[in-house]
Amino acid sequence: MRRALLRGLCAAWMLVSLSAGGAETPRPDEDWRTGLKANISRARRENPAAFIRFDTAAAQVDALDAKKRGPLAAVSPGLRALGPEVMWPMVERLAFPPQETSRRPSRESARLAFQVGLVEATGALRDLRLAPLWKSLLEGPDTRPQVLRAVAGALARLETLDAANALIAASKRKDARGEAAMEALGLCRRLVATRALADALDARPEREVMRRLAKALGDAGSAWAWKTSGVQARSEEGAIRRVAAEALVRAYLDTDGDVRRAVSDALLRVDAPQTPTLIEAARLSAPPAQQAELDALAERLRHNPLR
Amino acid sequence: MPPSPPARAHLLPLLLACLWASACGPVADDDGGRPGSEDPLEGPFHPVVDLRADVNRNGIVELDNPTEDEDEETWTAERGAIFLANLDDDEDACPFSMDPHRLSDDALAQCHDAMDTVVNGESDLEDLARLRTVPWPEAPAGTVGSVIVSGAAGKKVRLFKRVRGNFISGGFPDTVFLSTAEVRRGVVLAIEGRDIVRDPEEWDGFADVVLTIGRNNPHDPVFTDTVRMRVAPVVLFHHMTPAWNVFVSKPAASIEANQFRQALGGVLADSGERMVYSEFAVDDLWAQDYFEPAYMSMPAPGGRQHVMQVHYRAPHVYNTDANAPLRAAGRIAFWLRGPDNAAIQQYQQGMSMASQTLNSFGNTEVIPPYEKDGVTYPLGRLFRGRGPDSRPDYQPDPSFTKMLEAQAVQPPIYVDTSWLFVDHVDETFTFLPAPTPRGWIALVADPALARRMLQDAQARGHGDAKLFAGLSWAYSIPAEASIAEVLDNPELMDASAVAALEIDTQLSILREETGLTDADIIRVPFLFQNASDGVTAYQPATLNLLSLTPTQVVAPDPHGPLIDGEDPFKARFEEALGAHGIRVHWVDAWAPFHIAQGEVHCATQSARQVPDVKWWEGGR
Repeated sequence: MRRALLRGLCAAWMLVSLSAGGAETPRPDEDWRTGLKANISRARRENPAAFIRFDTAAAQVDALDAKKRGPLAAVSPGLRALGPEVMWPMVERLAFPPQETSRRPSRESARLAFQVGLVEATGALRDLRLAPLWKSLLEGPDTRPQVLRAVAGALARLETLDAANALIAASKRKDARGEAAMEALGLCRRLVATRALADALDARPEREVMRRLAKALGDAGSAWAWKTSGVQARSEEGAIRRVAAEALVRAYLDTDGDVRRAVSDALLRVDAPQTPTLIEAARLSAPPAQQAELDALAERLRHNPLR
Repeated sequence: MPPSPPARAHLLPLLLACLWASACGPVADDDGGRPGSEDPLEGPFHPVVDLRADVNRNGIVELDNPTEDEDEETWTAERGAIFLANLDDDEDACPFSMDPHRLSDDALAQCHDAMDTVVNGESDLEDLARLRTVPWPEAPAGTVGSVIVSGAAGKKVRLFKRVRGNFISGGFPDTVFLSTAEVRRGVVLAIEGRDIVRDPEEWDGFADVVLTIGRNNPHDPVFTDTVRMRVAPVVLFHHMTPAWNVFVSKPAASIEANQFRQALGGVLADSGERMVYSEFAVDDLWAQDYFEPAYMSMPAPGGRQHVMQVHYRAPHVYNTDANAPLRAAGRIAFWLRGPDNAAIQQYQQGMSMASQTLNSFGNTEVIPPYEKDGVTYPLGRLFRGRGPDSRPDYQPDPSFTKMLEAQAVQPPIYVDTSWLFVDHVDETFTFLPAPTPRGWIALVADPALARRMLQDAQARGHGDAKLFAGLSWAYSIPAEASIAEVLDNPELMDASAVAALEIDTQLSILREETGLTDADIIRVPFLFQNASDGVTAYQPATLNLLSLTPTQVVAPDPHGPLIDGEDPFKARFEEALGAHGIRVHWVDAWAPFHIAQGEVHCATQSARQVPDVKWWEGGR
């Protein structure tokens, strides 16, 4: 029976992969690195110009880093603009980085920006064949929070149940990986991920964690995001936004200051149809002082600037 | 004034002994008389103990004007003497290098006119506030005196005494001794601040200057007169006054930045205003961020202000190098140091690297003057971004914040900017003069409006119209995107939703604090996009502009879609500002700045004309 179950899971996994990943989907028993190498080699043969374009772009990251205004140069917009055809050169750099002595960019800050930009640009392509890469990097030796956040975001954007479950598992950890995974759960717009976020918020963790959870729930239920065609699990939209709104309304009265603001913002971003009813229900059972606070929330919702 | 009740000054016997021994500093008066040559003290002792400073703030210390003496021991909006922190370099004597290994960051900041014990020329003398003692011609022999700055201020000031036409400081910076002849004749003193207020717990900026007169006998009473003075605060400029000096970086290897500089130079030339255009040969593009012009002032004759320009160096702690912990380009603040130009550096180690962007001066702006609920802010208020309370390691440099707040005349308003990738208030707000009842308007980013405008264009059949035509994010790859593509991009839409709500919260704080109404607000549409940790402008943020004069601004071309031959984002902006008589000069900031998360304001800096309103009249 166990073997049968395993076969069933493998079949389901392959179905998901084939439906979204194209012909190069690795088999479950295949070493994913071998599969990536094969794809990279094929891409290099078929489109060497893409590798040259990527190398040319990589050579300019030091210059971008020198111009940066924020803490990190924003490399990903340019890499994204290179298009899907440079995915394999980017994957090669991520999965099989060159030796320390030969690598560019030269400055550490530029290398970090490049790493983050590569993950963001590749992750934006939402290619299911890269799921093992993202999981590997999430568990890998690079503990820099920016990289972990980008990797978790790339995994989340696949919006598969597999990605959701991997992130949920990682989010249990009490380290930077857990934090990155938890924040990224909101970008994995699946019901199971949203429920995990709601459960985490219901546990009333420390303030900063609550603030991040609220933001992640806002990501998951974002009304503006769901209005685009880019979100995949359309059938889960209603449930995701309702679960997010329920958790946020439950948390609202237990928060104050910046955390309450984050909860309030997330509720407005989700803008679930049930939210007024949820607020009213909470109001009925709340003491008078808290009723006024819920009235203020309802008033803000009525004037939601996103409508 | 009549002598104050006798007070025992514990220090006086020591000082008197010191005076007689002539060991504590110059004691000769203008005639070179020596107290030891006088006759022994005889008769009753009813001294004239009267220290005068410019309490009535007319720029002169008057002995014959009783208003100079009234309430001199207090300091209010109406009365009270003022002195400057003498942090400029009137003789251009301070060393400078952009190389921190020739001159470390800390060494760079230690040089200024108040570091030595002499007056550095005639210009320096003008930076010193005067005090005078009222002559007591009948002072009996044996009468001596001292002028001492009491309390914590004693370590923050230096006193000078005029001797034979020269101002001389003694062995104790906070003390001047008076001989009998000097008590009889009266002396002219000068005072300089050796620093601004940085930490009010250490020094609140007030200096009680105490004249003590007595006989050289420790058992006799002494008589005192106290004048309260205050060091001038550092005041940041708001946009209500015109710029007179525009600063930009001149990086060696950026063709696009050089094109921008040339374009900006052309705008300045066409503006019809006399303006200095200063270029810094540094590779750091962000002149708005690495330093900030400001000023200090004290009363001058004729109702004028004697002004010292100030340049703050931004407290970006970027490195572990002991010689150079700070962002290199910030050294420009010290390159600008010179006659009537001070430079100030203040920083604290230990905050997170990620939080350093909060220390940029693009994240410290000034809301113009206003009144709300009977409270006036005649110099406006600082407008600063910070992180949420739940992130104590993600806040602006605490020591710099303490120093800014200690200036007191521009109480800050804080909003959360941590949701932005660059974290600066100038990404979402700016303030411009306008002929309205308030006198100014607030330009506020509005991504929801941008979305509605694009939706409207799409609904009218322009979904294929391209934003950013002919431009690239980087690597010469086209950046153009159709309206339909933009509106169907979940990342762009959600980033813009995040921004819209965060800006709504920022605006609610601003409304609450300032009383802004919808009539005072111009909504500026542009979308946001995700960056690695936060959101940043997707379309050029036209409100991130350089305000040249009350009627002219330089703004980044939004490169919006062309619809019926017109960019609606450009047209809307021109129309909104034009309604207030403001002309927009467009410049292309895309390649040098927008793709690196900045616009025109970020890439420029400006020193502005000092407002007519005097900080000391503001009641703070």
